[in-house]
Amino acid sequence: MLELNNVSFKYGKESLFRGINLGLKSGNIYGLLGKNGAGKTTLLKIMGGLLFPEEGLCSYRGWDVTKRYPDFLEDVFFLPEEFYLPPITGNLFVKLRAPFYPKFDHDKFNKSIKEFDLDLNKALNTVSFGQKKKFLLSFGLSTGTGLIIMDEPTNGLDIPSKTILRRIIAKSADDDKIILISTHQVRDVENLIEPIIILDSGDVIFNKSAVEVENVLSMGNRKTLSGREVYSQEVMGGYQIVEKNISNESSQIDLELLFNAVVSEPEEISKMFINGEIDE
Amino acid sequence: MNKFFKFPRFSLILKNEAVSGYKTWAVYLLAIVGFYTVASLLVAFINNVNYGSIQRYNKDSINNLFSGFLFVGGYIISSSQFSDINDKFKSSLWISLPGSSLEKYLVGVLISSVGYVLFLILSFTVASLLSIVITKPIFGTSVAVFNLFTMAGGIKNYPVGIIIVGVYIFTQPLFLVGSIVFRKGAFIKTVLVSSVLQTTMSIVFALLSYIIVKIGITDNWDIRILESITKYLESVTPATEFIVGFRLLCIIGIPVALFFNVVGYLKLTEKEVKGGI
Repeated sequence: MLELNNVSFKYGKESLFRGINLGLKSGNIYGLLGKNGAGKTTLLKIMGGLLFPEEGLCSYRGWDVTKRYPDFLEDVFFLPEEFYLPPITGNLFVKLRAPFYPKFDHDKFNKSIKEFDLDLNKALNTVSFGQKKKFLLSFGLSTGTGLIIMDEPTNGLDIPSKTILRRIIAKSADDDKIILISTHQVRDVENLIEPIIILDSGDVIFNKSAVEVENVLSMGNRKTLSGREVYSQEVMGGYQIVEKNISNESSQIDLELLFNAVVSEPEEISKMFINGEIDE
Repeated sequence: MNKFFKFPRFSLILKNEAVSGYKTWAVYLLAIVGFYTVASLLVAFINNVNYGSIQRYNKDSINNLFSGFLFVGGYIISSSQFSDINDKFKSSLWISLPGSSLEKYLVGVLISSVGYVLFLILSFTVASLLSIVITKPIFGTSVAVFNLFTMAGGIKNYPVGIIIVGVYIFTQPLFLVGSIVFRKGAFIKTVLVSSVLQTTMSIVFALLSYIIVKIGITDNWDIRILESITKYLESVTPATEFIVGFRLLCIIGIPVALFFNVVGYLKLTEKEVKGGI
């Protein structure tokens, strides 16, 4: 379990978070969504022990992550959006780095490399950004760590690679693992992330599972507005709407629409979930 | 203790650090061997032109460049030892490497101090052997095989090379601190800062000495100090020079090295992956 208790963070004098509380449980692939500058990367870095919070505590399985104890680092893999790989071959990188992770799965790594069609004999600094990312994703998902944090994992990947990545991530998920994905490209991780966390204005404004969303909200396309909508956006030939689910029939979650609705009408959406819980 | 130091993990970090940079070390080795060979060829050639096969140059002339490579090269390497920590992209990889800050710091110390000295000894030995193989058959003269114990003018029976290596090992932690503290140009900035500090300390000590000595000795105090220094210098023999040097190295060097290593370690534990929201 990863827990953030009253975590605050400042860049200089500017406050980015104020007293964030969040708990992530094993067995889930969390999606962290937010606008540019919302602080997603900073939050991920805090969770990975790469940045220290101004106030509050971030703990993972009882470890204070800021201590960066080796046992913690052995159980977490952080994939940054932009990264550096040393000028050595992929084979050598794995030989040097894999022994640090006691549960490293070489078979899984080799399968991922094969699926991504990567050449491990090439120097890592000479391949394209996409290939580097695929290599690091394969490595990270094979480490067997209990916490995998990925910042914009689909950035720089071609369309077939995104499909492969979704498949590998889905296969990697198990009851002992927390996978946390932060992305702008919500379509890339649709049907993969569950629950959904939305960060805005220095706070977590939404943290719900897909089932909760389906029970409380209804999303779809309408030609005209009925007035019951909590959020709508104009599209070609009508509107995309979010409204309270009164039919008890679950609708397909449109992550982009949900995100826009939550960011535009945070209080309304929040109220609907509170009422939804009371109704249940 | 496992949280801070575990030998198998330390070995893995050491292997990772040493092997990851093998290309840089290989290029440096080639540069040393190349420079040494060319220099020894030149010296032997000039000697051959002037004196034929009679050797008139110091056999250790090029081996004595070891000190220059040791200090300049070593300080530059120490200044970049922890530079990854100040790089927005490299720091994530470095910090998230499973190992304690102590293990990572000790690996940096070991590579840039003892590791670098051993590398340089090996490089100079290989280079001198290669030079002998090349120059001896062509010019009839050659340099001596590199020997740390007889180099640097070789004060007979006293291994001055050991003191030179000691001075390097005890002073290089200052540059390790520089590599952690300064984001860019760590070597130049460390040299500048240490020069300013040294100058300030010299002025302070000079003023203190002036005040203290002037109070104690009112009659020609400055001449008396000069006389004592001259007397000491006249009494110096190779043996006393070595012993005094060794004692000074232990008395001043060890506390200085310890101080800067502790500062370096504490600074390293404070470092974060800054940049970007």
